[in-house]
Amino acid sequence: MSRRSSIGRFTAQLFALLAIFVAWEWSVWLFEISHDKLPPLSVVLSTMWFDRAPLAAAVGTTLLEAVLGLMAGTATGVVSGIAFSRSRLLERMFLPYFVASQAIPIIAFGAIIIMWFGNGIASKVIIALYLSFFPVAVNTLRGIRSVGEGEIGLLRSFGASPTAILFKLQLPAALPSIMTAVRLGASLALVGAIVGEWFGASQGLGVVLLMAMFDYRIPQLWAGILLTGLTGVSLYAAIVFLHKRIAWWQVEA
Amino acid sequence: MSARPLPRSLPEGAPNGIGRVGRLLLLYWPPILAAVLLIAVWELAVWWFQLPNFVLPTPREIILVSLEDPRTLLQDTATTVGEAVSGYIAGSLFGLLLAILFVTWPSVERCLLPFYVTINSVPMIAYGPLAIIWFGVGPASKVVLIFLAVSYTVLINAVAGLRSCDPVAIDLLRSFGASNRTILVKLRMPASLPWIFSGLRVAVVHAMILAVVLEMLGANSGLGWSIYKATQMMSFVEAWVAVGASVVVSLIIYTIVTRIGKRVAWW
Repeated sequence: MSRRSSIGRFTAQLFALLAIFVAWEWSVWLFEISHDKLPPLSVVLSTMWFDRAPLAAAVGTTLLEAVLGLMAGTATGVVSGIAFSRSRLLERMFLPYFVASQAIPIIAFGAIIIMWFGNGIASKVIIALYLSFFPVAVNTLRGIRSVGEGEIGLLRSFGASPTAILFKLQLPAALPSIMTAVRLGASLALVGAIVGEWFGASQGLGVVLLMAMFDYRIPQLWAGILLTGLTGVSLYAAIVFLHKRIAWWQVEA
Repeated sequence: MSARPLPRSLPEGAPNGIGRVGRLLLLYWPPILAAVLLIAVWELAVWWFQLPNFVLPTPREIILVSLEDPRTLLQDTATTVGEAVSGYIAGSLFGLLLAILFVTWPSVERCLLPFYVTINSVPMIAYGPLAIIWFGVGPASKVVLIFLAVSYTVLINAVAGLRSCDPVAIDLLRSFGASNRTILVKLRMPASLPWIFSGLRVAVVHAMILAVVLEMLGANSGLGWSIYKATQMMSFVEAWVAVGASVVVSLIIYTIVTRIGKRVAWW
């Protein structure tokens, strides 16, 4: 049932995408919209093909920044989630700030990161890192806390060490909730990488978008938008695939 | 992933008659301790390593500089908040309206929702440069994108909420002869309120992020614009001031929305 409905949704989505593309192409011709405002899709696609080498490099750079940042953010997030679960004091001291970080535009701190770490890839990786770090830390703790006292007591009665309990029971139980945060972190990391590139970079999707805006090259701008969407969807799909592989017992769309 | 404050309660056997401040201290001493420690380490590190203030200004300096020119700071804050709030309110109303349409006529949902999802599967900030070309560097470009993002978040949450109520309850009302409209107003809408407010809370952050980030691309005034100018001049203190202001403002709006949510959906 859920599989069928998800296939149905996928088909509807694909259909909508095609319909948007067709409507886009035809309405530009039909209403004679100035190509400076909205170039037809065919023009955008041919621009993409013509610029394929630099565009592919741009996607590669941004994806690298986002993925490196996401991986580092996930690792540090899980470690601090574990630390919180071990120390009530640490949790009470810092968790409120972690939770509050989700109510503020922490991406704005990216400006300061860029000034500290310069225009290279490192500064974007760090932005993507801290954006994905907070949700992962909060959800790791939530997942570890979801394990019942009874289960922990049972393992302990068999003589399991705290480390064994952590790796055999608590972390596996926390995986679904960690993966949910990683999914959120993936889109945050991509946005962080692009915004970081706006402040100064030599290559990347953010640079493509920014340069196209400055030079008023609308087809390139649309190429950048479409590629950003494609990158985001692919990254998200990869994480969902991992999620299903790693936490296969959690049935979720 | 909603940022809900953790449930806190006074420790058992807390002494009575310690006053409001004492009570707050007793409740919140760990986060306050963390803040004090952080600021102390920050100030000490700057002093110890003789960090020049263009690398890391001390919290004191940041506050002092922000008080130096309160007019500009207030103006920038007003611009950003104005964009965020107007896009937020319009977007929430539109999202709610669309959600009611979707739930009342599912065929409308089947036609429209995939398009909405497609447009929103591109990170909203990627439309930023295009919005600036189409709608200019003024507030309009920011408001349009905030409207799009907020309406989507609210729509998805509201549809889930409106669908969340117990089918048995619907059947019960229907057996009393309630019309579809009555069911919508008396049952579905109240039942969906907690969902809608959790969407509204997340949308606050989206609105603030978009306002600040899009101003960095181009604007006449605003906190994001001020951050951008500060980075170009490598003026760390000014960047910190503007970032700090955006954080404070965002927390205030978030708290207001959370408070309203607790009032309205108190259960």
